[in-house]
Amino acid sequence: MPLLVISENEWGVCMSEILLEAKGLKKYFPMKKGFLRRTVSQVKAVDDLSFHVLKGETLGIVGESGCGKSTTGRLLIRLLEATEGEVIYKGRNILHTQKEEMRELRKELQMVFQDPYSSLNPRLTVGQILEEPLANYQLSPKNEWREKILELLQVVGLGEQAIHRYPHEFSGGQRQRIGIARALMLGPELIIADEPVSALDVSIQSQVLNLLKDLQQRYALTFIFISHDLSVVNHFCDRILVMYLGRVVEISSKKSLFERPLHPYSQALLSAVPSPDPKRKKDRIILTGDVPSPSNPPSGCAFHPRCPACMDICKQVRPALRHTADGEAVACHLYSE
Amino acid sequence: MENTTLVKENVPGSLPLSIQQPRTSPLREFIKHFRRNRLGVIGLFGILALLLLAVFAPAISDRPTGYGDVTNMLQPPNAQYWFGTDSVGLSIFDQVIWGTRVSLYVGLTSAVISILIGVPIGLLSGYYGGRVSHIGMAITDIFLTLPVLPLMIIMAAVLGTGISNIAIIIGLFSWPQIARVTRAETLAIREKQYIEAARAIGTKESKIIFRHVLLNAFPPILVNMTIIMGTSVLSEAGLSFLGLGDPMSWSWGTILQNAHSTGVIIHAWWLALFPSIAIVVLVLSFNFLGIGINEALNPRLRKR
Repeated sequence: MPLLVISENEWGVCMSEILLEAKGLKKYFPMKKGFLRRTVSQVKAVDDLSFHVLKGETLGIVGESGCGKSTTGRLLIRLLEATEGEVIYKGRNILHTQKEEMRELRKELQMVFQDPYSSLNPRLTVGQILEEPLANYQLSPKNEWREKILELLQVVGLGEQAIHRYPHEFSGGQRQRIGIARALMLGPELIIADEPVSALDVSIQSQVLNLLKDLQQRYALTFIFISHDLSVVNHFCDRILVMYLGRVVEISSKKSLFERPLHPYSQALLSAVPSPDPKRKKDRIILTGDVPSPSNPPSGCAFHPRCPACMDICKQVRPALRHTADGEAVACHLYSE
Repeated sequence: MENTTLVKENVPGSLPLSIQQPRTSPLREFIKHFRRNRLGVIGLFGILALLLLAVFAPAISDRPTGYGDVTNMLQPPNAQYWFGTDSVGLSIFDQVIWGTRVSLYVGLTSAVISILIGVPIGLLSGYYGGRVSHIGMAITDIFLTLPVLPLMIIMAAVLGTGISNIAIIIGLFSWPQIARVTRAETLAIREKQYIEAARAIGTKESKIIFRHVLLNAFPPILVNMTIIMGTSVLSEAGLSFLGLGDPMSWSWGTILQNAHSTGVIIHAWWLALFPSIAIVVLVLSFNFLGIGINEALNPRLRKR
């Protein structure tokens, strides 16, 4: 992986700096059984994941439910501790930093949560919820907090009166805006959005997505956007990482993934996206079988039992992530020399 | 999807002025909502009335001691003795009034003791899980399965029968209930995303436990505390009834015990009725207060 990558996002801004990089990230959950609670097997939720995020871009992580997307997001900011691997943020590995140092880093690494109903403490007013990050770090004097809270409420499209209200007085979309405001309180660089719109009505989804996009421009934010919804990802992301069973299947720019998906799994996923054009011929790739258990993944390529292009080598050798000339990466034996 | 303009949702800023709230403190909020709760207010007034009786007992009645009006033994309620007299001619009314002091003291002290022991054990074992949880819950279960009454009797006999001792003993045997409720609540709250969110915004563990876990676990704990106040008054009455109360002070249980031990309880119904009513009033008041506090603290249960 080159340290400097030149690419363009949709506004034509040239970006080159890698903000965050994951190397060989693994998270195994032990499964304990019996009287002595011995570890009998491990659920490989995230298995050898490597990717990077450029400053200012939006990286989408897509995959079926249970493929380890959310776990990945939590590993990156250490809400979960990784079993193995490195997360390099601004040039240093943050998986082994001390507690206090990590607390300082949290100012820059924030998260927007999936469920707007359980991510806000029901007994605190919105003002108290938004005040907490400021109180935790004491970055500004106390008499300025209120002003800052009101400013951010304005930014996320809520009125000043919200400050005295409780979360249950708001709709799902409004609650998600409160969650976004909370993530913004400390002035973060990177926001991990864990399915931020999947719990919302479709009519509200685009509003929240547009808000996130506005915020990205306004504050020069970098996003890691976790989603299972390809149309949402298409709307929002610059580059897309496709995950299957805890592993990277393909990393491409949005354009090339949607026009020319390389991996058979990506092809199957994209063929399932409904098209607004009724004349377009539908050739859906229907995957057979179920997603295998991550506690006992198939040998070789994890996708081989369901792959329409399965070869003999796929059953034995796990394909490495291979970088193509256009800066894309795919883990599939079809593309090895 | 691609070219939608940012349409604002129905934001609270556009609400009519009449339902906009002025800036209020959490305490004022609580009072505002508590006042609307009928049961809670009844309970509060009940307890306040009993507290006043306890504080002003010397002004209301004479402390009953020794032998009373021996010419008027076992009188049913009348104009002079409102609640009647007992077998040594002492006024039951005076005894009930003075008994309020003891009962309230026992109820409050034992509830505070059980909170001080039960809440930390429940919180820590619920929040940290694993070994901490096993140890905490093992202790709790042992205390729950102990035969409480015989042990209370033994401890009361060993420690002596002062009122403070009685209160401490009852508190020492009441906390497992608090610990269990606290742990059960904590287990549910621990999994909420706002706990994870608090970690993400850099909140320290101690603050998470108090501000997020305890705050949300608080109402059921409080309700249980009021229940313990009620039951410990009953326990005290029971211990006194068994002759293990403080012979130097009057409690409602002592009155019942005297009525029982002199064998007149069948003929003199007023000996049993009035202290029993007092116990019922106190226990119910505590329970109502608990319900009221719970509903006022929980934004979703609040009456509008």
